Amino acid sequence: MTTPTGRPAARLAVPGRRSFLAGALGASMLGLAACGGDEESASAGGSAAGAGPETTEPVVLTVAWWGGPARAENTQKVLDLYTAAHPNVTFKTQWQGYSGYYDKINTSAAGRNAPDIIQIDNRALREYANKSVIADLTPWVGGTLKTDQIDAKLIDTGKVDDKLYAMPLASNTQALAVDATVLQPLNLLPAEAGWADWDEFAAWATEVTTATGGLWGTRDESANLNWLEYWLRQGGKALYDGQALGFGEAELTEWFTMWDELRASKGASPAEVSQPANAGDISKNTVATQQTVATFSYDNQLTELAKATDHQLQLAPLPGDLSGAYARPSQFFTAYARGKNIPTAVDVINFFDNDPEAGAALGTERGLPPNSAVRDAISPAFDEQLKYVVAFDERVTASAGDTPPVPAQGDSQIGQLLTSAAENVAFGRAEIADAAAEFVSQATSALERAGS
Amino acid sequence: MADTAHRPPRVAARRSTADRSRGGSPRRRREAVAGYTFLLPWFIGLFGITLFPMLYSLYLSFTDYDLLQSPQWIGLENYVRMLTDDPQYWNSVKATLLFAVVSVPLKLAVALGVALLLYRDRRGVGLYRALFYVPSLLGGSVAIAIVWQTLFGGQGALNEILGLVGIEGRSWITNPSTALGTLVLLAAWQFGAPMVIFLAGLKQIPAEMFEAGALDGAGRFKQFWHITLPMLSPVLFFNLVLETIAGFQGFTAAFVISGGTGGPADSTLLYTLYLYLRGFGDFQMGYASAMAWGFLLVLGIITAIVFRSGSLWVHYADEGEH
Repeated sequence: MTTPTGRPAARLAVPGRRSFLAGALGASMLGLAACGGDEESASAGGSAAGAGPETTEPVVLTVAWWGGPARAENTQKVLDLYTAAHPNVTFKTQWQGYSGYYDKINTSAAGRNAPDIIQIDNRALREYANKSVIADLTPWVGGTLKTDQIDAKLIDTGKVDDKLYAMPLASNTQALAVDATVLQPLNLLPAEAGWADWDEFAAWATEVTTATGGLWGTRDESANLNWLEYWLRQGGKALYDGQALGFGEAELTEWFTMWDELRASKGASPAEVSQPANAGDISKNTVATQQTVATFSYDNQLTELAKATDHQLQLAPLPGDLSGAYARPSQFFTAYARGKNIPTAVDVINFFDNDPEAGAALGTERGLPPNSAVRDAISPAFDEQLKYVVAFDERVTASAGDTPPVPAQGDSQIGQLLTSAAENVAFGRAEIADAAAEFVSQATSALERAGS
Repeated sequence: MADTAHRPPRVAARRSTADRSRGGSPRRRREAVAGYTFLLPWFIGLFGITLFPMLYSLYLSFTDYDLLQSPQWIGLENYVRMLTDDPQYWNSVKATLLFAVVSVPLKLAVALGVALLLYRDRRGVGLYRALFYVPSLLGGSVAIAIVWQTLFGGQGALNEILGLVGIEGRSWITNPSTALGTLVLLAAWQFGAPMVIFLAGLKQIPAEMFEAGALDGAGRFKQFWHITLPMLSPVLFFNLVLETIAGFQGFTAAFVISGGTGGPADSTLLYTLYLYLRGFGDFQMGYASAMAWGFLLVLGIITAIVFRSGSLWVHYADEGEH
């Protein structure tokens, strides 16, 4: 299980080698790997860029994603629909939680046998594109791959250097998941518009802790890069400035201090309670485990979270003004650059994005359907919870800020460094100023190394 | 090393007879060919799966290698970065040292203690031996690590029990000051293998020695200190070497219990776990290779020190015959 989107402590990608010429890369790969199997099957599959999908020869494609059981069920349904329409194409699936997911993909990519269709998030996009793990889908756009009914801004989030490498499967936005079963009787349910600023949120969280006597108002979210980004954006800053950090010690000190005060006032959970979810495992989510009343999350995760608890959950916008929020691609599907049959893989990806039946099967578990026609066609049939998520998403994204560029290469390491720094502060093992300084120095050299 | 000097004379004698009769006859040569043929699979394994990858990783440790593009020679950069510019590396060294220094003696002490309780033949002792050995069969598994995680978690069984007697527990595995402790406990719990070796060793001690000791008025403790321990020292030495090497290589439990992160706050970031994260998580296989070779070197030195120390405290029964 995991966060379908979260910034998890998962380790992915990073430091990389030079950004290189695609041609040189291809050549060196062949030279190095020299494991002929791939090349053979690739040519047998007729993977000329832009070619149409295989229609007669049997094709078996491997599909990999992270997520919980709900997602596995939905995804399998869509794959079955595709096989029903194209009996020559069958699938093998691999799914697991977010933590460790990229380790596995990286390892299989190194062994030249990664899955044909790989779910990724924007944290891995730049790395995989630059290292030619995933195929450039641009040649198929307009042919096998239809993008005309998908919001151009959302499509842009899958592009690196103006080439489309990744198709957004869904979009979501930042949201607070709150436990209505606890809050309702206490009359402390947040307003639909949320909280005007972080101070108001802090006061609310502290009040909730006092009122419940045993539950904490909010999980301590200081270790999560995604929420730091949200907060930075509200102050007009960004996580990254190209391949460098977009903020410095001063901002990070302020961020850590804010959470430190919230822990001191008992509004936020202590480090011991918060820590298990830092690895990005959704089953450890403290609202699901009923340890805190609120956690920072994404609106689409309501489906998976609701399954994990018998309490009623609600969504609320993150504290402060909505300029921090953005419509984000919750996951992408990408085609493995050395896949067995890339044209067919592209056709399957297209099916996920643009087929109304597929859209109906997927619901909003991954996020909102990216195709507006599909969304309009299927949303009347959604159940109450899905309709609620759609309405929330549309309300928030209407006043949200612009979607930031694809994160810098090395992003996952920055996430680990933040988690480490925040844990050291929360457990009282480091002074805030020291932890912030250490983070900035480490993050700066990690980004330099990753970008070189 | 140390023991070659004290090889019993009988063995040496047998050796020399074998030497004399070797070579010569064609039948013997055919046998040799057959022998090497049977050994071939092992040789292929040794060179193909062990030796070549090892040497290749030595080469990689001097390169920048991201698994997907060909390695680029960067000389000693990885080693320099490891030693001078990676605080996380030193966190992992600290965690590993602490883990090994506490868990190895603890495990050996438990193994010896249980072996002493179980070495005399009593009714049902075989069953007890088997039961105490079971954890070692399971201990390295992912399943047990998950059990541990649940047992020592914030809402885990241990805290429930502590709660019954009015002690407010804490989340042992998510607190950086106790997380490593739970790993040490898990390691110590897998004392079965050294226990079995201790049992075998204890059975080798002649009963007359204890009888003579008892007649001379030695109590239980004196018997243990002056008879059991010296007689057992070669076995203890053997266990110490094996467990030290194994202790430094702990991985599974740390990986599972920390959710693959080495957290909280790097407190369970054992060396091999950090190596794995750098190599497979961050695409820094060159750096990971450098870490591996640094590790091999240090582990070699530590093992050599243990061996050297052996001459000070390991007592071989046949020493007197020299």
